[in-house]
Amino acid sequence: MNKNIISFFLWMAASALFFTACQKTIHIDLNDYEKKVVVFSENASGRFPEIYLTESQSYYGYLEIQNSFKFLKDATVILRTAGSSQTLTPATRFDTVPDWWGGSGRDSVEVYYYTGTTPLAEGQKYELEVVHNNRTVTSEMEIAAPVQVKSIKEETINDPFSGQLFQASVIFDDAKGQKDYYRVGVITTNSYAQWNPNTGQFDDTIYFSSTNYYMVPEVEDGQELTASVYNSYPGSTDITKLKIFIQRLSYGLGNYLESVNSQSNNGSDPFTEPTLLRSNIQNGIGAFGGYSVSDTVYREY
Amino acid sequence: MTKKQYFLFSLLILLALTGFTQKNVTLSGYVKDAKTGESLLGATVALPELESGTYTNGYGFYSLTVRETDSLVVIFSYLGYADKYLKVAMRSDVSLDIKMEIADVSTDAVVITENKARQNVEKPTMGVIEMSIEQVEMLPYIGGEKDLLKALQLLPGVQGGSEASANFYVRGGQGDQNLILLDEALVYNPFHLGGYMSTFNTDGIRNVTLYKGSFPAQYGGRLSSILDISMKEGNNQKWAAEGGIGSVTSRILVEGPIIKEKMSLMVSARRTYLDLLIRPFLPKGTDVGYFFHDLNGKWNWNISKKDRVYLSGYYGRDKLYTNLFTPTDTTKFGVYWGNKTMTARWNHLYNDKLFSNTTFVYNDYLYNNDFTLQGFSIRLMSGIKDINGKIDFDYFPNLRHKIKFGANYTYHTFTPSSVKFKTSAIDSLDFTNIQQKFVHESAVYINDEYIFNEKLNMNLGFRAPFFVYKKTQYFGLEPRFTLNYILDKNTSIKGSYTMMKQFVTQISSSSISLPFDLWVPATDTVKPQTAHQGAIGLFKNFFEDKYEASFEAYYKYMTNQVDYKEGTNFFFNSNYQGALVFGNGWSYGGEFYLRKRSGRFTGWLSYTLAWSRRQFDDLNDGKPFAFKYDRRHNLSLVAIYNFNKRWSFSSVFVYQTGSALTLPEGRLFVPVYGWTNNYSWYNDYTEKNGYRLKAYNRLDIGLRYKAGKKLRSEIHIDIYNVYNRRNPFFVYMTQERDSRSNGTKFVAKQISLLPVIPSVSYNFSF
Repeated sequence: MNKNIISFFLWMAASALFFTACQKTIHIDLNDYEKKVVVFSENASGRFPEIYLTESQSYYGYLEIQNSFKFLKDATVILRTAGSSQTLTPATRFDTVPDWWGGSGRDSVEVYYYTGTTPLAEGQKYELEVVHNNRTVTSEMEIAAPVQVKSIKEETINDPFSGQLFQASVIFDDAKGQKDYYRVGVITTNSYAQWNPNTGQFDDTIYFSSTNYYMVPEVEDGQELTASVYNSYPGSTDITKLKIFIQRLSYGLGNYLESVNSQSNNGSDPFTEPTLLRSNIQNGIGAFGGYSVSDTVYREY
Repeated sequence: MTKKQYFLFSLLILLALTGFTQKNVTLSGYVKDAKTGESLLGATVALPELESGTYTNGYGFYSLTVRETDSLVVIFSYLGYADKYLKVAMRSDVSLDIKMEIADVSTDAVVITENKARQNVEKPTMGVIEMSIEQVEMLPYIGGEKDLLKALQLLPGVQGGSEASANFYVRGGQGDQNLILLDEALVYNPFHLGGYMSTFNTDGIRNVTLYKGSFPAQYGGRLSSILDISMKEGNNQKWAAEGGIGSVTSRILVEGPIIKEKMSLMVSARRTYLDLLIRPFLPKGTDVGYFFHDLNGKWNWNISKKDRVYLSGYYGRDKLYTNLFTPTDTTKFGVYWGNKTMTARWNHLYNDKLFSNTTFVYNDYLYNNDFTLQGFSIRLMSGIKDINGKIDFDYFPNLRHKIKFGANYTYHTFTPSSVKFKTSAIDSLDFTNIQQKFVHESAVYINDEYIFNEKLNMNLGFRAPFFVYKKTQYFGLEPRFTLNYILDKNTSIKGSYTMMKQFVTQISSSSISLPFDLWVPATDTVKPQTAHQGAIGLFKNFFEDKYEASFEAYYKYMTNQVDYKEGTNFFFNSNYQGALVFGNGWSYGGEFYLRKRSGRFTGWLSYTLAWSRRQFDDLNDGKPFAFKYDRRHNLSLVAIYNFNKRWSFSSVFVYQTGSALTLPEGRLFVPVYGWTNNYSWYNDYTEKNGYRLKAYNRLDIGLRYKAGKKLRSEIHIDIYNVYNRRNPFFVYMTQERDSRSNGTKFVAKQISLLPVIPSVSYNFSF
């Protein structure tokens, strides 16, 4: 390296030392954090409810990475609608999730949740009550009717950084008179995946898939919207099948997911205004909501 | 215009007309400093026999119209000057210019004259503080530098932002809601060194008035305060110079008569020299540094008894640069920014009752960022440029009325961030992508200070601003009203209501004042801000006016307040309008002020108990939250003791509730994008600004020694932050690993900026 550049950096380091000599780091005192019941429940119309319960922990405590999937298993979960109520029962399944230590591998974990026997319906108002260790948290939501998709446009985009990308755009009219959130998504998979036209889903034997979502920011004026989502170009690798869909989210769920996404994108940036999680859970934190799905489009390349 | 506003406007006209019917004689003239010939602003002209009087306007002019009489006792008084008693025959109009002598401030002699001292009780104004430059100079210096804006932070209702910052916040308002005028020119960025020093070189300043409420109608365009700074006119009696050497800057001022008593000139300059001192020690081929400089100048010509012209200007620049030279290439990086202002004024006296001032102002704030590497260069620039014309009239029909009216027009040119490239292949690319915004802003106003009787007086004004940007037009009518009821010679109660509108907004990147913070005009999206402020107060003087006390309670409601959306990056956001959210704010509180104005021991105690809240539908889940600079308690104690003519001691103690900020308090592990196969940690924050940093407090002391008669020297020995309090500057999060448990956890750490700082500085004058 050029001697002058080395000298320059040495000078800059000396200057930095001079200025930081005026600094002192001090641990600041914070009150004890009271753990909260975390509810995550994102329900599709026509499917059984799924309520995931975990517990928040102090930001300043030791990270309980191994216990991060510490689901609350001894809660009482009640779902009420139109004068009837059902107590949800515990269920488990195994999911593959990123490994806990930040590596590229995936772990299989047992996911614990509460579910019922009655599918959720559009236009119904649902109330949730969770009781755990003398803490009661409540919430409510309603799944709105799906929007009418006007058209779906599939394009090839040449991105200077990522190369050739596939872009799916869904064009639809926002429902008038209320604030709405939408989510457009594309699921790509390989030739091994089997498409079931009756359910509008890929089957359970799916070997590889990738999902991209795009949250449409909150809108309220009934305008025509174009929601686009990008993905690797079908056929460029072993991706040969994809599904495009649009979901209309209940307000509380959309509001929460928007804040979660904002934290994901900007959370560690010191020059970014922090995003507070916009929860619709009283006495707890998280989201209880649902969505309806508009025309699902399946493509095979 | 509503019915109520029509009624108030008609009342104002009616009150004004009552003065035209009386047949009287007029005493008028200018009040000046005997030593320098400078006009004295706000000097009291009292008529004790009539229990009435007036005070000089912004150019030292006064006018009193009374009934014809054989003789009339007139008392002229001004802060720090010896009173002047005169007996004047008032059989016809009299023109009388007065020269006043400075009183001896080092003894117990009456320094604060009785009549001037009572202006706080007698005038229909509230929330108005005049600060003399002498007061600023008596305070302990910070790092060897005196600073006007930091001195203002010691007053009730005014507070600083982050540690050592010169930026100030008035009655719960934003920093960009302060209108800062230097000889009537608007200064958009009044800071050097990232906000740690103000651009005002106090050597060249004559008068400072801060309005926190009860705004006179001639002022407008900002919600929270007006800071009106007048530069020295220049000594028209003899040539003089003064200067100083501090740890950060050195200063020089030269002033004197070009034609004695007719024409004078004042030039002052200030520059930092850290860059010059370190240059010999830099490695060869390296040139790195930072400096700023200020240049103030003023020329005035007293053409005749009726006409006077002024030409004044300010030029200030900050530059931060890094240059690396190699035999084959040059790498350059530079950031420079600054203000230019130029004010031309013409005072004209139509008759002994009507005075006018016509002003043309040009001001220009520019920020530039240059980078050159291997034949490629890029320049980023932004700024704002104004051309302003205005005319103001002072009309003094009789003793009861003091009417001020006028109009002004400003043509703004806003230049948001623009980029220019230059390469070896392409010689130059102009600023083709500049999206300049051209804005017209104008206003007319009328203001009457009316005396009902010896007990009751009031100030009533209206201002009508008009704003045009492309097809966006905004019009407003801003009523201003202050009522003063004098309970006894030393006590009065006052009440006021003011409405203010603001058509420009600063898109600020952070709590510190950065030079690239953009000013943007009101648009369809960014609507004009409005403030309604009501206040009541009790004003009292004690012990023959040696002590002054006041208590003011205020409530301010502000609409169309601007903030960033959650998740917005401050620095890399080209679409500023899309990153903004809008809401309302309100602040209220009480301000207590006790000041000892004369004697060996002087100083003041200022205490403010205040709340400042905001509510934005898109922030904090729509719930109200504390403003970033909401400070429940704000206490300043200033003590100055003159041992004798040579030695004096000063101290400042400051206590403030800690700043509000948003911190994570919990964390949760939930699905990303709601997808249950992909989980991540998220933060559970306190409510917005729900955490308080530790309280801010510090003590500064200073010792001053004066010597010499012809060549007067002054040595200041000052200590900033005597007990080395580590006040919070900001907080950041970091991960720490515990070696015993091998666990990792987040900790919040607080950075403190300025420890104890002793300094020595030297001032001189001759």
